[in-house]
Amino acid sequence: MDNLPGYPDNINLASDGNYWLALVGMRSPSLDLAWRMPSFRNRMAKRLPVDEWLFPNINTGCVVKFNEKGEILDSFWDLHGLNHPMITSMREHRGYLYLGGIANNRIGRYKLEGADPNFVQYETRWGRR
Amino acid sequence: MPTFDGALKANQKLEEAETLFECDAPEDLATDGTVLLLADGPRLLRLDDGQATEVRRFDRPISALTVLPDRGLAVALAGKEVRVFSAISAPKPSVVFATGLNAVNALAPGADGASLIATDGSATQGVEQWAWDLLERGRSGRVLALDVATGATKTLASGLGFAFGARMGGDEVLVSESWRHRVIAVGRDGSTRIVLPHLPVYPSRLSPASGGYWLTAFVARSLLIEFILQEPAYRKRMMAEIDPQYWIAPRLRSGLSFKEPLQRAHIKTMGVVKPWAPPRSYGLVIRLGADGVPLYSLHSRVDGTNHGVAAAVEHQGDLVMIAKGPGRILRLPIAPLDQELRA
Repeated sequence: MDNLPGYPDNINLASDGNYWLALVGMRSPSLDLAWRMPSFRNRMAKRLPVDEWLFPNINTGCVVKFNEKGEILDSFWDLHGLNHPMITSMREHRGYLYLGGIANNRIGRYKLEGADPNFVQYETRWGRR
Repeated sequence: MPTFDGALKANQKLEEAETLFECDAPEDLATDGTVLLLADGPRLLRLDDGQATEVRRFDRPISALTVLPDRGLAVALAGKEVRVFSAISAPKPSVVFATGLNAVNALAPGADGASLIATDGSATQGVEQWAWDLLERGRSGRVLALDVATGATKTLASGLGFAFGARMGGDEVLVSESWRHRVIAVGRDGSTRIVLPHLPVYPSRLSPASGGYWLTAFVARSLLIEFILQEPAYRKRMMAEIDPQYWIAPRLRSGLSFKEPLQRAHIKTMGVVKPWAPPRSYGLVIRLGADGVPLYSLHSRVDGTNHGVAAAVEHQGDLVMIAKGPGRILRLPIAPLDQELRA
């Protein structure tokens, strides 16, 4: 999958054989331009405090589902990061998608319509212990 | 770059202000003490306790508004034309100034009843294109005296880094020179004197207070924007290749799209947006003493919404303000502010 609109983070199994992907932050045109101008970035890093540096837009939550061909099948958003900005990891478990971000003080849970209510990831992957 | 300290110490007064009225394109306010007028796009509205009545409508958006001492009215239209009316509801203008004006963004009564002070922000960029003027490091702002009796225009000062807001102070005209982050005084002979330098914001319209002035600041500075202003190659490509709403530039509102630039301090941590993060948009009104020295200030911080305050007028004991960011007219009673903040 090339030219994603955001910065990919963890990948995990979905109950239907596809995959979940967390986009930790979204691309912004101003940062994309900075990526193409290394000397500009160099000066930014030297002259500005770290807190003032341009960053990916991490105040957005996004999880996408994709298949083995690399096709995006679905996407879930918290566009303004109200509850779940910066999702770094997600895990499907018994019909729900659980959402976490490393700077968040919360874990989210999203009811997946039509998902296998008995799907437990450890057992799917490694067999029953 | 200076910080919000001393009289500019942050609070959330603007964020807590009452919303009097909401509209799409509030631009400027004026009052003669009894009537409160609001320019909303091409409409001139009269506000009575939150109820709006349309007084008149123009063919272009109003870019500045003032009431004259003789109860006359002056409006600037799209920055290009100034019309003066002998009364608020007079059918036809008594005089029209339409030559040599480009971006008239503020009007104020002159020293005598026969003149009008106007600030023309830029000779190259239109009144809505102020971000272009900042990024091009515009230095073509002017202060003009418009003679209402003869229709003559006189330039009092030129070469300003965006003039946005003026008010008579004794013999001088106080002027906000936004891109140089300062308030200056322009004398009758055209001489200039710095009244209030080194602001952490870009100052805008001024209005009289009892013994001093209210100074609005429509946008705020940040270290990243200061850095961009020193990076001509990046700026040129940004302006050529990127949609203006996603530029690294001050804005009247922010947080509408993930395509906007984000800085590390903006990252929401533990569910909280830090109010002290670098402002892309901000709300600020500064109360100045008669000598132009700040006494106290009213804020809507980075985590707030009442941003882009471009006009503030005293009206019957209240401070009435325009927050262009959310399109709100805000009201705060002045006496409690004076008591609490005027240390």
